[in-house]
Amino acid sequence: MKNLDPMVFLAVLQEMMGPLLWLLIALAVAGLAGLAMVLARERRIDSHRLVWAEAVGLLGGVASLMLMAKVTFTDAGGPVDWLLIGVIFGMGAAGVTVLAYVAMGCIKHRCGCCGG
Amino acid sequence: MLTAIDIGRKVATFSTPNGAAESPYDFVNVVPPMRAPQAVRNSPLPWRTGPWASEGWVEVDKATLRHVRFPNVFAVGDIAGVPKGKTAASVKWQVPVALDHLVADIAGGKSVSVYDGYTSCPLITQYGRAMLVEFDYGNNLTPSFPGVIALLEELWITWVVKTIALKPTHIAMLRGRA
Repeated sequence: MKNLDPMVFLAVLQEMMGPLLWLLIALAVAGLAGLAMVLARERRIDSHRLVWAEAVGLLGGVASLMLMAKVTFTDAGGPVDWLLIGVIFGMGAAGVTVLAYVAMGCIKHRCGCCGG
Repeated sequence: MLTAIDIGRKVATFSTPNGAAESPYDFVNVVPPMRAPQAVRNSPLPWRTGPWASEGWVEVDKATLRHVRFPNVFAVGDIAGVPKGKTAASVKWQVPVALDHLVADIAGGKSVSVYDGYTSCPLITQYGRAMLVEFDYGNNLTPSFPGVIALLEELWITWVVKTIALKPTHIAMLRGRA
């Protein structure tokens, strides 16, 4: 592409995914905000919970690849294909890890993310 | 010119200066005759000589996309009578060049922007694989992602781009957002 303009990228993604794009962005923002709140409240990283969150995150990575396989036939042909598969897995895994960590933090405090 | 196809016998018939000629085929890809819309064909804009005169494509300089006879006219996309580039990728590359020249004209300056004939053809080679083929007027390969997407390599990522990203890209272009 001539210039990789972020707004062009956004326009194409919006055309591709429709409202789902905003849902995913909202989920990502909510996850990060929730993480910030949980960390601020606990003032430490709960390593036990993090390990569980990472385990759930791995499932998230697998789910991302399954979703991709559902959207289009998936079979790596060259190095860059493996890179893309890795990025898809990594993004799914990281996203779900954050969401799981936040969710478990909220459950521990039995209060949802925004309560005391 | 192709005049008939006998699917049963797998034979294509062409009209030639020496009369009808038959040619057997295993696979045939027929490109229908293409020409400019009537409004352009009936205007003073098309080429007046050469291979595009009968098809009516607009006579523009292939580097600046500026009309050869009407300097305040530019043509981009399918209508432009240039040797390559009836693709969305070409339009994407042509528009900034034509725009730069227009803006420079209005500002009383001169633009040095040049369209090199860039075009892109993602070719599906099998289910799940495609090649991204990008080239210019001189048929030189012009990779957009050198070292990442090899142009003549059959890749899944190119299949992904072709099957799920290109149509949304074209629609976003039509909306003026890409």
